[in-house]
Amino acid sequence: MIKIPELLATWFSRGLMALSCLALLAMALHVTADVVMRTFFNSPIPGTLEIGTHYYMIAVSFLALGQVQIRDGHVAVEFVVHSLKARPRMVLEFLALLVTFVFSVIYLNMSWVSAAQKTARREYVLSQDNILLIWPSRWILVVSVAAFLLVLLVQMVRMGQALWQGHVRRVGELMDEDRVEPAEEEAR
Amino acid sequence: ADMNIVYATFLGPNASLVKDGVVVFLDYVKEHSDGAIDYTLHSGGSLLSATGMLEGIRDGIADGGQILGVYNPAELPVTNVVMGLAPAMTSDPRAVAAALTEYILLECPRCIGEYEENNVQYIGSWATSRYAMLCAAPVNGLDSLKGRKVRASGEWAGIGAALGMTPVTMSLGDTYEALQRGQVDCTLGEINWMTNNSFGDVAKYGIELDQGISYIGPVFSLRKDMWDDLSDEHKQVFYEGTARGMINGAIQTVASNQDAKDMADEKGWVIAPPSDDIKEKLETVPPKVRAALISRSEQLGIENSEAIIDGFLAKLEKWDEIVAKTPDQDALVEQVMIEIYDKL
Amino acid sequence: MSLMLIGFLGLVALVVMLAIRVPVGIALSVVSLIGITLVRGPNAAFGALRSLPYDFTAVWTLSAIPMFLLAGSVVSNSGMTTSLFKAMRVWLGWLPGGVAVATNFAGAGFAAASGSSIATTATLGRIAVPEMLDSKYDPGLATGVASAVGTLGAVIPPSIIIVLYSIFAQAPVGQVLIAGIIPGLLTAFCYAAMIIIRCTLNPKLAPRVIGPKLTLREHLRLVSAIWPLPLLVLCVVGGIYSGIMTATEAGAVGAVLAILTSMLQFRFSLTMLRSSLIDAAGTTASLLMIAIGAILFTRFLALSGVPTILSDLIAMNDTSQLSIVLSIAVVYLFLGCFLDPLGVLLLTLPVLLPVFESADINLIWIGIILVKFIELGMLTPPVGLNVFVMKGVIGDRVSLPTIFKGVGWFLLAEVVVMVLLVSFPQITLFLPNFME
Ligand code: NA
Ligand code: NA
Repeated sequence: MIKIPELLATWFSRGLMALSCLALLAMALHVTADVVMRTFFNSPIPGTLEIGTHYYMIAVSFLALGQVQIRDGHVAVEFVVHSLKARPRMVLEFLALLVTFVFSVIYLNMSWVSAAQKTARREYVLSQDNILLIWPSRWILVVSVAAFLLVLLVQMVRMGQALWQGHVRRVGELMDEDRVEPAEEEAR
Repeated sequence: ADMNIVYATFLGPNASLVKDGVVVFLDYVKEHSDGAIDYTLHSGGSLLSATGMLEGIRDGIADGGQILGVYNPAELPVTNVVMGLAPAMTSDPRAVAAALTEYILLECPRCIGEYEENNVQYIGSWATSRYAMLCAAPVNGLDSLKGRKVRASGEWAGIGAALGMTPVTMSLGDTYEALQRGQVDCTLGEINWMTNNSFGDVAKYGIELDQGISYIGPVFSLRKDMWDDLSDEHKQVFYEGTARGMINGAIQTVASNQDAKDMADEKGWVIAPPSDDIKEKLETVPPKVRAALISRSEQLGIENSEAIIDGFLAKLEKWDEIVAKTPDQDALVEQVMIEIYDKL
Repeated sequence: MSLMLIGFLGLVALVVMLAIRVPVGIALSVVSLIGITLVRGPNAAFGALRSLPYDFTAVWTLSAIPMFLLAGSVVSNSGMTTSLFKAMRVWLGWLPGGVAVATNFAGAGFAAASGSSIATTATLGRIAVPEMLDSKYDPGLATGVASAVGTLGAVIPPSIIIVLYSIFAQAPVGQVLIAGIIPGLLTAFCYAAMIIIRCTLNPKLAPRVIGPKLTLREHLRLVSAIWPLPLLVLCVVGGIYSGIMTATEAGAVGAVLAILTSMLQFRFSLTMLRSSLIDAAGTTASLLMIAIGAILFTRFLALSGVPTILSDLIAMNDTSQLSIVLSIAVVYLFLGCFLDPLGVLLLTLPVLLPVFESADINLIWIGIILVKFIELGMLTPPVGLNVFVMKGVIGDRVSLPTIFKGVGWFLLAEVVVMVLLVSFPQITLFLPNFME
């Protein structure tokens, strides 16, 4: 039953990660082009700073959230859980996932409210004399947190299953689709 | 004290706007409320940044603060029409601050409405001194500016373009290094930036354009739900404090320009008035600013932008006269009370 | 409950959450939300979460971080660094801890190019650490040197944090930036001395890499394999100093140059580009998560008044320069345990500046001392941002406690550096005075 949400979470996060990578590349090229145009042709590319600030930076900073969580790549302090046996470690990790999940539900809700408000007001910034709409970039945050939340949900269920069935798992292995099924090892 | 106001500014504690404006206002309120009101000032963006200020006050992170209206064009559309004239301003900052305050409080219910929608009670505004062109290399006359890169964001680009310069958008944090290393040749700004932001280290040459004033939205403001709970006496104290902070701030910012000029010889700065050909070009700016502002407002669906602009300009004309014949600081504060706050 | 009590309880709650392995950024955010709710009500807390993540991130100067991360991961993934360290093994392997010493000075070079110590650390974590680990260096030493030398990024110009300090303190930006050069180099030399002494006393830390004697032609081949790296650093540094681009833009240009040089060297492939982009995007996302948590926490502490109380303690003591410096050392190392450097700076300057003024302290000198202390806070547990960045980049190969332990030796070297900088202000003020 968890298979479908898992597939959804995996592909959603992967897709957003791909977009994040594209934004990263576009940002490097766009800014470099601006430097070249300004230096050699005395005509900077209008809007570089505003697009960079409100689109590239937001995309690069948030879109990869879900994929990072799949790999358990968010920085955490390991030294306490490190010293624990498998089962108590997994219980703490489940708790940590739960705290993170609850937070991300509120986070999703708040960024949604904010995005809806900014959309209703058609938020914009001025770039020289031109209007650059920036409300769409608010939704980048919303979809990113949504992917993050979906991943956490699947990981929680998977961790719960593992605890129930007495299997040993690490957070980063819970939904790595490339993983070889680890040898079923009894948790002591 | 019964009440502690958490006040936020994004500028640092030494900025003239904060120490000569906001602090004067807050101290006055504290001293004249019979110990009922105290304040905690979080300056330098330590509680709220420039972009987060309006929302921060709305949600109650702070009780009041220095709102920079240009960062909230979508939330404060009408205010931004009034403030869009910034590059065209040639008045005294005292007149600009008082005129904006009077216009918003007495004649612009739409402005008040957009603040109320954000849970903000607008009390008063503040204005910078008139802008100058600060350059890294010696400049005199129009030809010396032609083709140079100038940091000028948003509607300010018009001044650069009128002088034949290439406007470059750049964050203030990058500007010092950019001037030093030549990514830009000049920046628009106040003469006192030479001392205050130490731009004088890298931009030793200033032309006093005497045109363009930043008049930064409500610098004196309070959370609406808090304001509504105040007694009439206390509201009066806030008005009086605002009048003092507004006028003192405008006077001190001009005075700090003079400080910079007094230091010029010692520091090797050259600060000169604009040549005639520069003045001539600058005169073409206001009509263009106005036209661009009106067409942009249409594009954004803001109605009656011409009436908004003319309403503010009428107030400005009135305050130009008042300021011209009221050189005394206390007398001018008195005028602000009579002409604006007593009519509320 | 008094505000201060809430503030200190918040600090305790943070430590508990971190201990049960809640990600750092989430732990900071959750504690801040509960704290702000207690101090200013739920509206304020939810409001902060609505606006702050976006507002904090949509800042142009921050864009240097993903761009330098990208440049670093391209250089690393294309194998250029492998060649560099091959050469270093040959040329510097005879020194005790030779590759670590080389990393140290390469780090000082990167620091000069990058305005951010986080970016410097991440770049070194990709370029230098894997090579040292492959050469069987002590993991603590390998990660320690790369994390610690990262802090030079904020001291050696250009430095975002120094520019911010100067704007707040209304100090001459140019002179404060220049003032960072000698203290930055001094730190690098002290680090190198420490590495050499340690590795002489305990050769197991860093096995000597003694290759076969090479002919001149083989040396030249080594040079031809590594030229893009110094060229890249030179282009970025030279670009900034010559005035072609700002420090912010240098990141993007550096990334593009890295991709171009990898093509010139026939090291480019789409797979390489793809994994570089994925690395940089993932690291950026996890970094920003922490930074957002830190800025939320900064807001919470500001409202609770804890930093003000600490800063007031400084002002209450007698105002001799030495006692002020010692007090700020205590305050900054304490706050640096929990907060990000910009947060510490923003929180304390409003209270400290009047103290400096009344004690007639030189703003250029104290600026460098402040930045050094703030950066040291990035190396100390429980929240050492630079150490976390290193951990994020290096992944499972080295554990967090090992990195902190390795960094500890560098903190020891910093004691020497700080005593020198505090006792002899001339070290800091020589270059800026020379400018006048
Ligand atoms: Na640097
Ligand atoms: Na720390």
